[in-house]
Amino acid sequence: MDLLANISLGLETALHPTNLMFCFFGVFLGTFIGVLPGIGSITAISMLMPLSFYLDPTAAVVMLAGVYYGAEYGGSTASILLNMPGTPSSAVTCLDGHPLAKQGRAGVALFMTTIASFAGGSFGILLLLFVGPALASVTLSFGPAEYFALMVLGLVAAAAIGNDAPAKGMAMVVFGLLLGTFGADVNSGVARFTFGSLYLYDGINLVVLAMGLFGVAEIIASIGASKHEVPDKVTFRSMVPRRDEARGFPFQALRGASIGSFFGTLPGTGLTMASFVSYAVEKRVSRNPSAFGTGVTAGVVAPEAANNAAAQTAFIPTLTLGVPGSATMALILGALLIHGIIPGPAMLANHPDTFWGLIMSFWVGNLLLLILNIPLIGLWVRLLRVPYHYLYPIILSLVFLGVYSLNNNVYDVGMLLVFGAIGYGMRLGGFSPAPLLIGFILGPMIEENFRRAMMLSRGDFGMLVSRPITGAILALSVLLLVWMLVSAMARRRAGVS
Amino acid sequence: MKTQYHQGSRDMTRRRAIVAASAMTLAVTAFGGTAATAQSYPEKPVTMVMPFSAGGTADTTGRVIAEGMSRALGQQFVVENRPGATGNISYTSVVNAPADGYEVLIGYSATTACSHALMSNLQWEIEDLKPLGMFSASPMLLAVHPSVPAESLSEFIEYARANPGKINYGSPGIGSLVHIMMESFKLKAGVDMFHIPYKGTGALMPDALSGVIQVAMSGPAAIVPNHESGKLRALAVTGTERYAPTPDIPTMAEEGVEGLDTESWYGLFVRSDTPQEIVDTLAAGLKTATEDPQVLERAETAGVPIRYLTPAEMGERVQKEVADCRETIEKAGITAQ
Repeated sequence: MDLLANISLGLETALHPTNLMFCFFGVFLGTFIGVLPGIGSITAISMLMPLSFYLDPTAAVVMLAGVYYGAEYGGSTASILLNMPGTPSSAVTCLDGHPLAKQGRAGVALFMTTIASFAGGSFGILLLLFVGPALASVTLSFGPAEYFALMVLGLVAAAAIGNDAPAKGMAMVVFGLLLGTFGADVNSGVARFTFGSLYLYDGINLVVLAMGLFGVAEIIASIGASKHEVPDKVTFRSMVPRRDEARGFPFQALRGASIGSFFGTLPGTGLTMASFVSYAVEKRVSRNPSAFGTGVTAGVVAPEAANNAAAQTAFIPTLTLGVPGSATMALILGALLIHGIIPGPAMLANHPDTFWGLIMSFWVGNLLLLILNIPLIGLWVRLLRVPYHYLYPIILSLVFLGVYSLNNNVYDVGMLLVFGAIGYGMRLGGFSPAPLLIGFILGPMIEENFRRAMMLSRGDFGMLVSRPITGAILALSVLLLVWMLVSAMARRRAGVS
Repeated sequence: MKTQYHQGSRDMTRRRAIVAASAMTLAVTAFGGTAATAQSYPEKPVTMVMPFSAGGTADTTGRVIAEGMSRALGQQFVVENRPGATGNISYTSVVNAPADGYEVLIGYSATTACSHALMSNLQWEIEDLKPLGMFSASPMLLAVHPSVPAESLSEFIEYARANPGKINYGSPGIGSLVHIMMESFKLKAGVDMFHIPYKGTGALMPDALSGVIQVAMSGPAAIVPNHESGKLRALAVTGTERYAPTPDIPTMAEEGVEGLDTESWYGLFVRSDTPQEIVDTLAAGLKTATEDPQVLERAETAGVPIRYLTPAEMGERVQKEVADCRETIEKAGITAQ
């Protein structure tokens, strides 16, 4: 079968009225769930799972997938308007998105993230369509040593993600690395920092940490604050970006989408890492890096393009290898398995209609999201007019609900409050939570993969440099580190003279 | 009554004693009332506590049987995922829920049989749980990467003996069923392989498919599709007989490795002090569910093997596996915590 036939088979399936309806329902629910802080796609998909039992398998998965990538569209809305990420992968969007909103440019920020999301999503789908099965070999060429090298590069690249004093940023990265060591150690089974409690056996949950540090801390900080100054009406005109912003957009979106697509194909790395790394890269390549954190559109465009692209390419290992990259992908895989569709090499041959139909439905879904989200911008901005003393209790309850529903465990809610308090303390001290989060995500992966690589090589460090991909990535990390040090020294010397 | 589950274990024992005593008093003084409640059971939806996250094999199996239970007993049986600590969070919460039959545990073989040999700070005991019957069991398959020059298990054992300590096998975690079974296999087959632990089967599969690790063991869902497409070569199944969907793959025993008949199974439990009438109702409901044609059809599509054992048979199996597991863990020197 050639590509054209596949596309037409896919479109025929995706545009079938039933599938179209479930696609719309999925993306609508997804974007809504994404906007609400704390309630993420995993909660929504787990709740819809029993329903998918009774649906046609293609319709079921089209709907669940719609919730998944739809949530990435909505996730940035709360980041921009309320400084609270709707999903952990949108946490980094707070850094520049919220300052933009404070300057009265929420409309511009929301408009650009919507377009960036669409661009990122479409980029991911094109990859899925043209080189999807081939990209599976990229997934397989990344062993533990390669993962380790990549995570090191990510850590070096993201080291200066916050906008405060470098020492404070580094301290937060280290704090994040420390929090990442909690729980049973993968390589030895030893329980670390569990204080004898079973609850901490699996470590700290990313959603709990992100919602505590960003969401709950923001709510505590806002007690007593007055409401935002909000324009009466959001016209289409007020959403139009400045000329220089529009000119930079294609490059920012393309860089974000490329980085996101890459991380999406690697199981276990996740959307949050995609958005953080692309923010860091954007800051590096920018001519004016010091403006980041004060409200530049590049700081929202790149990460949003990245997480939406990653949300699409995450289907590559799931569908072509049967390897789910995240808990949400495992749910979608489960929905296919219940109907006897086994994702993996045989899926293309045995269920081409489901495979291509699903991929084409992504594109239909992304179009629907674009059409859905632009008129909603005005509505969301008006949400800011609700006085804080009404809005925040509602949001806090939603965060509690979302966090509780992750594992049906009340200790997660307690942990959320602990991190809310820590996050508030960090704010008072001028510490940014973003570097903490990146340390928390990368730390365990670096340790786990380094130790696994060492086990595989029976303790020979040579393995890290002799493998071509690993050696190249590590060399790049060293170069980046040297460049950062040299440019920092040059800046200091310039400052002195 | 007992709803919290994070007190110290000494405190727990005392509490349990108090609760047991008060339950006895209650049973004596309000016998009529208890009987009436038991007869009308279930009068509200029943929670089936699932110890693992949504989406995996365990969850699928649980949901298929919950559907059958709902039909058999005319009341909604709702699956609630309470994952954590290799399933022990769910076990602890069910043991501490009221003994009224409205929280039923979907028990998993390895968590039931091996947790106590691996972890020291557990707050539930085997005696706290009463079996209602087993409903699903599937064998584990041992598979090698195609680069391994072995077409059968005996050839593989020969190859492994010629290359002691050089072959890597992956498991979904320290103390997981696969880890314990592979260590048992090493002892029984007299081979030496290197253990590489991962965070779950999903994390292990890319390295198994690319040959970073040469040996993987898992349930049919992860192995069979890759065996069929030639990405992995399944050499043997555990259990006493061949696995029906793959009749060409021999058992371990046929290939000369005796005694590796552990399967991964799922069964239902309630708190052991649940009134007998309720236990009987649930046990009968489970038996009906495993014979329900709709359940069997759905299970077949989803690739979930339904197999029923009575509460007594399941109880015996649990006792045997607890002993087996402790023995292997001690012999192989596996430690977690």
